[in-house]
Amino acid sequence: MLNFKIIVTGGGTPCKWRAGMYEQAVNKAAANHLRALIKQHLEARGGRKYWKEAADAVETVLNESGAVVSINHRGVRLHFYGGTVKPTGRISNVTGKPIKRLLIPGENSPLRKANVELYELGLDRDAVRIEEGKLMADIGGVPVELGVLAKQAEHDPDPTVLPKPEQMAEALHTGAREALEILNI
Amino acid sequence: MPQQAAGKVRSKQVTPRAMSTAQWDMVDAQIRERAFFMAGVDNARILSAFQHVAHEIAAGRMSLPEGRRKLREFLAAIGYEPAAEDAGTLKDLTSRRRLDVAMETNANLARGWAERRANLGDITNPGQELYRQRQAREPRDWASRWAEAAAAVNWEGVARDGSFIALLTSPIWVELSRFGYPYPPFDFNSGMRVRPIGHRICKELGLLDDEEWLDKQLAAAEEGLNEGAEADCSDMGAEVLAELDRALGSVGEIVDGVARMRDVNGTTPYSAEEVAEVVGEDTPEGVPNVQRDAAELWDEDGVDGMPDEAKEAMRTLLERTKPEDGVEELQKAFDLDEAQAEEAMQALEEEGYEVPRGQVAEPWATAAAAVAAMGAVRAGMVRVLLKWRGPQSARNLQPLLRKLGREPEDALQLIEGHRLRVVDKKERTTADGARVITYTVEENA
Repeated sequence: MLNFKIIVTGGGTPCKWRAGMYEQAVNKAAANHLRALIKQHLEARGGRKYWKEAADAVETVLNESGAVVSINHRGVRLHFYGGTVKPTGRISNVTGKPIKRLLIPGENSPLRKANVELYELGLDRDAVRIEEGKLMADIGGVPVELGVLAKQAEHDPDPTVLPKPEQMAEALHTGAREALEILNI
Repeated sequence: MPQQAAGKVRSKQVTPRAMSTAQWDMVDAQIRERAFFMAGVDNARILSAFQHVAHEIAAGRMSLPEGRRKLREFLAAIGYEPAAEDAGTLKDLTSRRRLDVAMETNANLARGWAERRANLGDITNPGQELYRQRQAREPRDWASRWAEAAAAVNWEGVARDGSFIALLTSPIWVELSRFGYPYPPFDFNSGMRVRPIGHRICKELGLLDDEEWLDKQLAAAEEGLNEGAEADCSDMGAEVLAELDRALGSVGEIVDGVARMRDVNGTTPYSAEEVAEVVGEDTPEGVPNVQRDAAELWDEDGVDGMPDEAKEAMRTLLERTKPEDGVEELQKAFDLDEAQAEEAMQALEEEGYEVPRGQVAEPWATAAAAVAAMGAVRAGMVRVLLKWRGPQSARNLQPLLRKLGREPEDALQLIEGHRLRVVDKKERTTADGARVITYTVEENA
């Protein structure tokens, strides 16, 4: 969470600007510059879809104490802060039993390629098997590794998910400065 | 008033404009309302489930595969089965393609709207550029589409340098969209997005020659998701129109062959009487009425204890209600002890008066009699009387509250973000020795 507060002093109030609108205009400009920077940063992380969807989900929320930048996309928080992922225990659509292990698809897994869940491949319980900790299936007569089974998965924090703090500060300053120039304060 | 006396009146009033969780809930309500409107006599329940999942995805609480699973479970629970000839096609609601298109398009449209709203509030970036964010297997010919759209709007607000740049307020964005919205996605499964273009570049491109550009941008920033939404029904027969009119209920109306959304949960401006008609009616099943619910809560217990989403709905309701015309004066009075009064008067004279942050609005009496009803000032107390001369922004919720069966006080509302400044001060002492300080206040022009 990044908080910022900009207070504008001096300058007359042109009649078309309500009280407080100067500050709002400057806040909004600063927040929007920050949002644009984060979007650009996420888009540049590569990949075909995930980070671009994350870029679509960047928002800045203005409130009484400043602005909060949020990225409303599943999984981004885990990438940034790190953490441990455990099975939810929900009932599997394939086995009909509570899920006890995570299925972590590898690069070539059809699950990852198609961004689908196991049941969506049309495989029933008899069509999958476990070999050396991996979930396997025969698809089109060919054995395919669907993913590695694990009790839990550890994710290290990745601070590069967001731009560097000084870059974000610069974006805020630029937005605020440009707004002040346009307002001619 | 004591809160102001404590010096808490500040000129900085950031009314949340970007998308908080509470606002997402409001967008959800508006999207569901739109879904109902667009569907006509279709199954609002299924659409509502689709929109709910799209909302969860847009808010980052659900992934696409999770959304598909939830919707399939829902469709199975209500006994949905596609027609045999439709199974697996786009007409099959359980097909992956159909689910993905519906969820992604709706989630991205909601995000596109939120982004546009943020961009319109940013005066440093009056323009935006269409660009390809992600590659498509079969890219559409956006260069031709851009040129055609530009020509269709007579290049209004569109750069002529061969770029895909236009002002945020240019009609080209609506023209470009398959869905008729000025924000991305502009087509199904489209990888085209927009990015902000700054003031300097827009000026160099000649896009800011119209001196009204800033006014237009700020006005557009106030528009809601469903403002102006309508569908041409002129090709429908009278019987079908009558059926559609009945099905739309309070959500829409048919006027001259055009089905118009009334924007029950949105921001379309209405007079106080019209608000009573639009917001005060029952909505069809499955369509919430968040502003009416908020108004009832507010009338019962005031703003204290109201959930954030209800406060936000209340703000929207007040802001969409057109200010009352022709009001000469409103009044408000506070009886304070000497110390409170001194502090309050200092704050008032130095900083003016506005509704305490978070209070949404406060009533000002429409007749001096209402203030007189406070009775005589008690000995040792100071009455600070505020006379708001020529109010321009006071909102009238009385017609709506009466429609809801309430008995509203004879008052108009001063809403958050409007500051009153002192233009005159008079002081007198009553026969009992109590001080009465009368301030005349006005809004900034």
